[in-house]
Amino acid sequence: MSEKKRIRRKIHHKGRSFLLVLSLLSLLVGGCWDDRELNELGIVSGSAYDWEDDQWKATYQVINPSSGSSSMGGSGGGSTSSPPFLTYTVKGSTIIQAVERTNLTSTRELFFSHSRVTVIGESLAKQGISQLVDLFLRRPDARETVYVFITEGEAGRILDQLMQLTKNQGAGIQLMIEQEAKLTSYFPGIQMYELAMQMTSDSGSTTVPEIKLTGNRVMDRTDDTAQTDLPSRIAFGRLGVLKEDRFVGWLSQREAFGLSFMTDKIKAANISFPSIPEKSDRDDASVTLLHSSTSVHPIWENDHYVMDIDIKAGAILTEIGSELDLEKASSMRQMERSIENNILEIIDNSWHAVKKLNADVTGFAVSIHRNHPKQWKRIKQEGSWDTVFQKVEIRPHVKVKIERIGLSGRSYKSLELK
Amino acid sequence: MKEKISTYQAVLLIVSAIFPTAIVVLPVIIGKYLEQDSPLAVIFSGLVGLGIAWLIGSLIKATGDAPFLEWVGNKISPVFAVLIGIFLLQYYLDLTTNVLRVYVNFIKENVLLNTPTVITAVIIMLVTLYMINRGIEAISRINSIVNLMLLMVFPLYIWGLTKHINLHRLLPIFDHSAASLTLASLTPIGWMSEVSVLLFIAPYLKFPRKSTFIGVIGICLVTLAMFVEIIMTLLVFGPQYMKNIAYPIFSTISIIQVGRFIENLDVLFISYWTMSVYMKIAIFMFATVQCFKQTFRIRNDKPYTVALSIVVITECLYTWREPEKLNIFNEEGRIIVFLLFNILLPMGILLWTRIKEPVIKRKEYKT
Repeated sequence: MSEKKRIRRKIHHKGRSFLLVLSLLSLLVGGCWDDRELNELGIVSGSAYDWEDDQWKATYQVINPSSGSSSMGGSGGGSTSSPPFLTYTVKGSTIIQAVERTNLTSTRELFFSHSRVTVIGESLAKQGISQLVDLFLRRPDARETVYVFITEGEAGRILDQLMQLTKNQGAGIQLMIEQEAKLTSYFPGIQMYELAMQMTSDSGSTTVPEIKLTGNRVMDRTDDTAQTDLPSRIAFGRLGVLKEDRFVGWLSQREAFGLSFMTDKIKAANISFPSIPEKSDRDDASVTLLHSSTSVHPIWENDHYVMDIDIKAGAILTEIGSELDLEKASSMRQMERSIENNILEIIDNSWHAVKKLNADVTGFAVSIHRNHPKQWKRIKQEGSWDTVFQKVEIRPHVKVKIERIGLSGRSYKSLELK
Repeated sequence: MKEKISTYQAVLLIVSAIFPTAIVVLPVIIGKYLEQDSPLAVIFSGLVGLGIAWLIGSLIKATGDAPFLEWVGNKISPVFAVLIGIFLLQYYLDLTTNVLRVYVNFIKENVLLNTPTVITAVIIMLVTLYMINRGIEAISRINSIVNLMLLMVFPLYIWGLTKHINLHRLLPIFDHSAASLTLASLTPIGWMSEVSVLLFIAPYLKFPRKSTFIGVIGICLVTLAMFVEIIMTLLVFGPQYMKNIAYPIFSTISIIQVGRFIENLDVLFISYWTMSVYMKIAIFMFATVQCFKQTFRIRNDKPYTVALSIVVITECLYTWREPEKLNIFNEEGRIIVFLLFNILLPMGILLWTRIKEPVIKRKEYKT
């Protein structure tokens, strides 16, 4: 009896061990179909899309692992004459077809998980970008966190441009937009998922910063960067406006700044203003906004909506060219008033430009939905938002407080006069 | 001597029996009906879930530590016990298959795009078989460790998303009708009713009389976790976008970026999730085997476990080959099955015994 038990236990033990070994070994099998070797992958750091001859024209920027240290910064053991990245441009009736064709011309399979930026050509933006957004949200290896830009000419050109101080152009542009949003707040950088969110929101409109080259030449040779002042650099220009998924126009930098105030996107910003407006209209002082918050309340008045925009900000004085006595409270109030008027003017300009484009990039539709859900349901049923939006009136109130005046208590000009 | 499952371990087993698939499947279904009011459906279904937990707990108390189907056989009729045993077996087989398919689909869509489905399914089942082989106590110990990992992931999840939060995205509240709330709550109620798996785990509990407590705490934890997940998704993405993404929790995690050194955190969460789904499959496979064992009064269940696994793999590969069919079934069909097997059947049995008991006692008293 005990012998039987011993044999049975032995069989059980063997069976268990077999199952364990089989389970562990089979875990390794799963990777066989999806194995990827690093030296077989072309890591895409940026992509650009244009619309040409009724086809998608895709450009992919692939990091060149054989590139070494050069004037562009960074270090490595490869060849210094080899560019830090390579670009592939292909056409296809769909984006995936273009990707496929890129793979035909490259020794490495494109790998999109480390992509940082995507540039959309104006030609494509006018056609509509929903298919592109869909691709980014659908493919598991495409990251929805890429920063999106729009460019007036051919998008692919932007990816050919080499940058100084950084070898990875995609990461460099990402850094530029993040710093821009943090320091100047003209263009809040937009990531692909934010773009998708805004396109599906009640407003149905969104903005995308413009990326451009400051000169006519594309600096695409490694020796081009071996100079102190590049004749052509990558820069941000205006703000592209998309209604639903199509490009409808541009907002200038100043208009974009006003939009940032209306949509509560100000993180930090510099504002120049006339310190003594009664004396001169010329800007002779600057403040840096340290914080700013905007709240929007829609009010129904007679036959239209009035958007009550309340902006509160705190600032530090960074520059003054007049003889204003900073120790006087009245001087501070005077400057605060001047800044407030300046901001009001910026907002007013921006609002007129937005209204002209008839694209609700202000998010007023969302605000009305949140505050007046019943009225919003009616507007949605009637499909009359465009008409309602044209009748919207804004009523901005700005309150700026100069919280600090910097390290000098009096203006240098006032000392000179003495 | 066989070790028993502690009350704390049992609570975590209930969490693992519901949470892993609920976080993937439910947000999209709820969001479709309720948009920014989605948290209401989670609260409502949680409340109903508490009722179901109480019902199951009461039934377990009534069984007096005996295996469920054996007790039904004694109390009602052996034929009836076999009959409901067969139906329950079919239910648990289906449920295990469903979980396996949701898991396989996720792996196929996100991680192993080229690996044949059959390989993925077989590997998962092999690991599950090994877990079953070690017994429910070993499963519950590992499950406790897996759930502790959630305590590490969740704070990171909330902290990482703080800068993306916009409270206004929850407005306007109560914007949807009671009908929408009911429709949105049906599927989550079905998921909460999975607490009924306790019926087959109860004989292995250290304190089966605490089943109501185990069920209630388990449902509370699941409701809380679901609530946090849905609220965070809404606060970050808003109601419109939430409806359009297949895996909201993974999408929210993928946008977490701390400086330039922490990003793509979805990998971390996917790792936790992968382990938790293994737990869920193991729990339901265990319940399937227990149901089979009790229905056909089998002593050595080992050979049948392999056979049942083959049935699960086959159903997973052929019945739910098309993801759309699975989605429609999860959204519309599953609630009927859940209602029938997790609520109506236990309630019927409990009522039957409660009504019949006094009659028998009265007869005994007369004789």
